[in-house]
Amino acid sequence: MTTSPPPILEMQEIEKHFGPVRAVDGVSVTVRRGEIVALLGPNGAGKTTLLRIALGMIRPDRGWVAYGLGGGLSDRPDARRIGYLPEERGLYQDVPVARYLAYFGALRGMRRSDARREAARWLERLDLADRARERLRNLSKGNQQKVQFISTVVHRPELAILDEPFSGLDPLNQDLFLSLIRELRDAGTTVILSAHHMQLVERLADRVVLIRKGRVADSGTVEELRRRWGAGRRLVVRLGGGGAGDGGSGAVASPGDGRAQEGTAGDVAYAGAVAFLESLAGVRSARATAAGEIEIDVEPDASLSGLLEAIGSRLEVHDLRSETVTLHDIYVRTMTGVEPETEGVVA
Amino acid sequence: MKRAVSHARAAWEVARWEFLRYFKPKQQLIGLVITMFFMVVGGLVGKLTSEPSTVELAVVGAERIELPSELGRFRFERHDEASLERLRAEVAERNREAVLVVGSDGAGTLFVRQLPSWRADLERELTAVAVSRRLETSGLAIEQLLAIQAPFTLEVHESAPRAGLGERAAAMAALFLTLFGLMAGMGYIFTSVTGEKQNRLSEQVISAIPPQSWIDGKIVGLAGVALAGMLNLALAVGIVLTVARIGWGAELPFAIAVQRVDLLLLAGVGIVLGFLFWFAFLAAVAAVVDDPQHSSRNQLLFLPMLTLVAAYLAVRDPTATWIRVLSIAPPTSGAVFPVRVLATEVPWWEVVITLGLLVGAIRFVRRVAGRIFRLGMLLYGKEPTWGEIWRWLWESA
Repeated sequence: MTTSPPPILEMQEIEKHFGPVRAVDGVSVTVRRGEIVALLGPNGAGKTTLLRIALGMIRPDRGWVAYGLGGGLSDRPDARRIGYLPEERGLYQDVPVARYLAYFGALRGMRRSDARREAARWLERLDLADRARERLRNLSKGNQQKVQFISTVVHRPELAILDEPFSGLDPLNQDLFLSLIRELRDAGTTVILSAHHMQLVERLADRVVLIRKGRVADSGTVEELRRRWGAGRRLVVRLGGGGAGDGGSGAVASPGDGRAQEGTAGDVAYAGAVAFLESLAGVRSARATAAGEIEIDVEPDASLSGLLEAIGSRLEVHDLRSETVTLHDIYVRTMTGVEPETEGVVA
Repeated sequence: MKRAVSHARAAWEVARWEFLRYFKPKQQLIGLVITMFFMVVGGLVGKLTSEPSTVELAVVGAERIELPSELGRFRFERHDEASLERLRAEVAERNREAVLVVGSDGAGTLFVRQLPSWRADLERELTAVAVSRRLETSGLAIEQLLAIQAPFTLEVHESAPRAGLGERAAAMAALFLTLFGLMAGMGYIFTSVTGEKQNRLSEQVISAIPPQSWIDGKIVGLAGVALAGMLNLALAVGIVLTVARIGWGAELPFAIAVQRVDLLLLAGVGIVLGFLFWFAFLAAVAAVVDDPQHSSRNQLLFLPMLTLVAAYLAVRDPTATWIRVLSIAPPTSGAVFPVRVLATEVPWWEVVITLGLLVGAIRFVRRVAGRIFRLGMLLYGKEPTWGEIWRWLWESA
């Protein structure tokens, strides 16, 4: 029997209103020590408000927050053990890099000498050691973002809360930040982040919480979400030009110019093929795409060989490939309400 | 490695940070030199353009009124009638300041290039001489003459004497320094708070320390910068005036205050407390300003200036009842009290009440400012209405 790590942050039934706007509506989230948890949701979904509540910057109207920082339990955040990178972030442009970092370390409870030493270590790690005495305004945007990241973690927090850490980063720096966050986790820091970069989150997060209109729409590991939303597998087929005769059903694949156009004979034929595919055992759903293909979501326990045989018996398959459902797909479907929402407690 | 961050320590870190950010020793030194330079230049220009204390006049016909060679600030050089044309030519050529001609009827004519400022003085002196001569020729005895000329004696007993020149000068100096410090400090506070808001730094800081620690640190640190600038200015003025006094024997009207260190310290305490009060107020205003260029809240910056107007009136009449009230009650006490302390005797009980009320007012304003600050600093892109600000205060009370 494995025991899960203790919670470092627990938020229960959190509600927050701003005037008539209900920003957070009964959200419960538990973050365990050592996890990387990603909050996903569209702009205005309530992610930043939730993070500010977690930081103690905003008081919730209802619900409670508990912290497992420093080995104890408390209803108040200990700022010395938390790091925060806000979405709206800036710098004291007229200040040297090292002094800026030492200041934020000191604000988080470090001795100035320790903060200077730790800042120097991070600057060395990020190839900025030779810029330590320069004013921040003289640094490139990428280097300024690195300094902002260091100021968030210079005091070695137990919990790092990163709001949109990848925004504005070029692909190289995105990869760098990805590895830095992993390093943080490996060094014992629990990370909560919000992001719109699904591919990065997919590579990084241990757990994902999808937030829609102030409520938790779903949560779990990426694999759990895939199983729940995409049934684990997806087949994509392109049907042949002549189609496969099926006098009985009239299901004839007709790609035409390769695009299924509304109102055409081909569209009708595709609709027949989609209806046929959805009738097969093991198929959860099927739909024609604008690219002239048919996507088939397959039940996880379906027999793939039996399914392929059934498809081949009725349709002329020109091309076939298997795809994994991406976090992007799950996100889009969750946020557009394609699938029923899963609300409530997130473990 | 990590220590508990107390309110005092967090505020101290912020105060230190703000002081080091805004206090530029090099700029202060340059300011010191520039101030001294302008004072010296101003003094020299004043010296060169001021009227000479002694006026020398050539006089033709002085014997007609038996004019002495010296009369008050005037020195008379006697000449005969034949020299008149030459003397007038010298006046025209700027080689002589003036020629006075006393006619046979006892009336005088003055030849100058332009009407001098000492004309009235000369007329007064000459009138006195002329009257004396007329009285002498009237046949009166000298005792009668003295009795006639004796002025009316008026002995004055003041129950609440006005401030003397020295005290008023010291009070004006304090007022000027307060004005300088307050204006500089207002600039620092506004730049610091709105700058952090515009640069999106506030959220990161608020996540690390309580807003109250942040605002307290800012107030103390920037008051320190304003005081340092004020002392720098006082130092520059002090150096120049001391050199002027030692080198040229110039009179320093407020030297009297310099001798009363206790009063200077008391006035200094009043100025510092006044700064803390107004800087807390201004920090709260700045926290709800989104765009300092276009905010209507900028008008609130004039409020501290109004207290300086009251302080100016206190220099003129420090014992007036309404000035005493303004000196005791915040928010005007921060500016009026220091001026009154230097301008007149303030009873000890008034000092205690004034400082007590001011400290209490500072505590209240900084708490209110902390609450406004907490919510205002996270509000980007719009300014809260007065109703919203009131609601914040109400909800957070």
